Amino acid sequence: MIVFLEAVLMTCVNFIIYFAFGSLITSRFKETRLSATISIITGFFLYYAVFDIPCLIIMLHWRPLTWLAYCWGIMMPFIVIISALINRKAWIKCFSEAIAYIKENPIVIIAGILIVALQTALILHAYEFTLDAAYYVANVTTSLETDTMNIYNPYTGDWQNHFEMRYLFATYPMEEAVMCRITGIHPLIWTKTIMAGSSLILSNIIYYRIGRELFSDKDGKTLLMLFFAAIANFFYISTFTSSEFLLTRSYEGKTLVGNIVLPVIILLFIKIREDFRIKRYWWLLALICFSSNILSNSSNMLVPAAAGILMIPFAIKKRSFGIFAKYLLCVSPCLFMLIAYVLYVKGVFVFYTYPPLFGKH
Amino acid sequence: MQTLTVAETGFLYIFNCIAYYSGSCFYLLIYAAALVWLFLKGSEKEKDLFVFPGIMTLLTVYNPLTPVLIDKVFDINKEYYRFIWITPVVIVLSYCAVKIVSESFGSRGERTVAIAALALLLMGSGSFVYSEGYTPTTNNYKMPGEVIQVAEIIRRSSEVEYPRALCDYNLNMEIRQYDASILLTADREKYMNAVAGNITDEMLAAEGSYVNRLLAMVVQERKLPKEVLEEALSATNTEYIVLSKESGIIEYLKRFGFKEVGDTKSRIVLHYEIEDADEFVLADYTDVWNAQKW
Repeated sequence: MIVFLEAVLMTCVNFIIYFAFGSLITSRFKETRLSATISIITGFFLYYAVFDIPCLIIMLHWRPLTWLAYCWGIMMPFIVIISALINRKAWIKCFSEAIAYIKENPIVIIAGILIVALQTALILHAYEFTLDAAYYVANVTTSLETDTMNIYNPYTGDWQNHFEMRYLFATYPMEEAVMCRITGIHPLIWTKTIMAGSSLILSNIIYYRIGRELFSDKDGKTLLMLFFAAIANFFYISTFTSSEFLLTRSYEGKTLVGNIVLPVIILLFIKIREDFRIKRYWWLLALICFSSNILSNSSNMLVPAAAGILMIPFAIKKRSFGIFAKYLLCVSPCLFMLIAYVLYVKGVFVFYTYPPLFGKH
Repeated sequence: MQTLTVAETGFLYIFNCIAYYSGSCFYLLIYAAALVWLFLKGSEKEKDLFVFPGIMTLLTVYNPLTPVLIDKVFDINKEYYRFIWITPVVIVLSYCAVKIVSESFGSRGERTVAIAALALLLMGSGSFVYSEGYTPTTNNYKMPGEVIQVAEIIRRSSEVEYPRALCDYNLNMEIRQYDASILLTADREKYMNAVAGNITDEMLAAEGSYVNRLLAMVVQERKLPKEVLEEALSATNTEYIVLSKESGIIEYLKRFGFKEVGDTKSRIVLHYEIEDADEFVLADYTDVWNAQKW
C-alpha cells in the first residue's frame, strides 16, 4: 500500500515538474491562456532537454551518478521554484479555470479519468517478460549499483572500454537512475510503475489535445476519441506495434518516441497548418526534435521521417520553400545524431570510458 | 525482427516486414480504407492532416526501395519496423470512428449502437494485448517472486561483493533488473544464440569459447569433460549456476563439485568454489578525477 501511494505521489510529482517546466515556455504565449495540458506536454520535452546538459558533462568526465543526482537535485527544484515565482499569476488563473471547468463538466472529467485509470490499472497490474528490459531497466540498476553512468554493461555488469553510442546521448535511463538515487525508490518500481504510468497518462493527454484540435474543443467528441484510441491501442497488438510497446514496454525510450513524440509532432502540425508563419510552433518542433534524441536513439531517423512526411506535402501545397527550410532546421539535431551514429558504426570514432575521451575505434 | 533481412528478401523485405508487423491485426487495412474515405469525402483540413501525409508515407516508408537503400548505409534489418510507427493508425481510426458516429447517426440510441458496433469492429480486427492470458504481478517489483528469492540466496551465500552467475534463460534476463550486484556470465545475444540452437561444435572447439561451452551445458544439457568445465568456470569466474529443478545436468554438476546453496519452487541454486578466483572490483577513477581540472 505504501509503495502504491509512493508511486501515485511520484507520478503526480512528475506531472507537476513537467507543468512547471512547460509553463516557462507556454506562459510566454501572449494571445492564448495558459493550458495545463499543453504546458505538461511542452514541459516533458523541456525537462529532458535541460537534464541532458549536466548529464552529458558529468558522464563524459566519468564522474559518479551521485554527482549528477546532487546537481539535478538542486537544478530541478530551482527551475520549478523559479517557474512558480515567474508564472504564479498564470498558474493561479489556470488552476481556478480548471476547477471551474471540473465543476461545470463533472461527467466529462469522471469519464476521462475512468478511461485513463482503467488502462493504467490494467497495465500496471500486469507482469510482462520482455527481453529489452534486460538492458533498459538493468542499465538503471547497474548505474545505481556502480555509481557510474553507461560505463558498465547492463547485461553482464562488466566494465566496457567505450560508451555504446546508441545509448550515450539518449540519457533517459540516466534520468531514471538519478530520480531513483534522489528518492531511494527501486529502479523496478520507478521504471515499470511510475514511468510506465506517467507515459501512458501523457500519451492519453496528447490524444486528448489532438481530439480537442480536431473537434474544435467539443468535449463529447474528444472523450469519444479517447475511448476509441484506448480500444485501438489495446487491440492493435503484435510484437512490433507502437501500441504493444506502450502497454507492455513503456519503460523503453523508443516507446516514448512511438507514443509521445510522433503523436506530438502530429499535434504541432495541426497548429502549424493553421498558420505556418507563427514562430513558436516551429520553436516547439525544434525542442521536440532535440529532446527526442535524449529519449531514444531511434529518434534520429524516425523524427525527421515523421516530420518530413507531414511537412513536405504541406510545403509543396503551399509552394513555400520556407516551410521546408524550417523543417530541415528543426530536425537538424536528429540528422546530426544520425550522421554521428553512422560514423560510429563505420568505426570512425568512439567515446572511451577512460582518458582520452575521444578516439578511433 | 531478428530473422528478416534485406539481403535475403530484397525488394520483398517491406512486404514481409508489414506482415510481421501486423501479425493478426487488420488495422493497417482499415487505416488505408479510412484514408480513401477521407480522400473522397473529407474536408481540406482532413486531407492535409491525414491523406497527403498518408500518400507520402506510402511513397517513402512503404516503398520497397527504401529499406534496400538504407541497408546500404547501415544495418536496418531489425529496426525498419519502427518506421511503420509513423503511420498514425490509432489517431486516424479513432478520429474516423468519432466522425462516423457524430455525422451519420442522429438519435442517442443510434449513436450508442454505432459506438458499440465500431468498438466491436476495432476489437474484432485486432488482437487483444492479453489474448494469451493476463498475468497479474505478485509484488511491487513486477518480477516473479523466484527472481527475488534467487538473488537473495546468492547474496546470502556469496563471500564476495560481486558474485557471478549463469542462470536459466528467463532468470538470466531478469535477475540484474532486481539486483545489479550479481554479475552474469552470458549476455543477452550469446544466450539468445544458444537458445536458438546456433552453437555449433566448431564454436565450442574455438579457443576461448568459455561462455558458449557453459551455455551449451546449461541450454543443451551437454556434459563437458571435467577439465573443460573447470577451465570455463575459472576463466569466466562463474561461481553460481541456477537451473530449473527439471534440468538433466544437476546431478552431473553436483558430481563435479557444485554444492546446492538454496532452492525455490522451481529452481535450484548451485555454488562452486573456484580456486584463486579473480575478485571483481569496480574501476577506480580517482587518478582520472585528480588529473582533471575540476
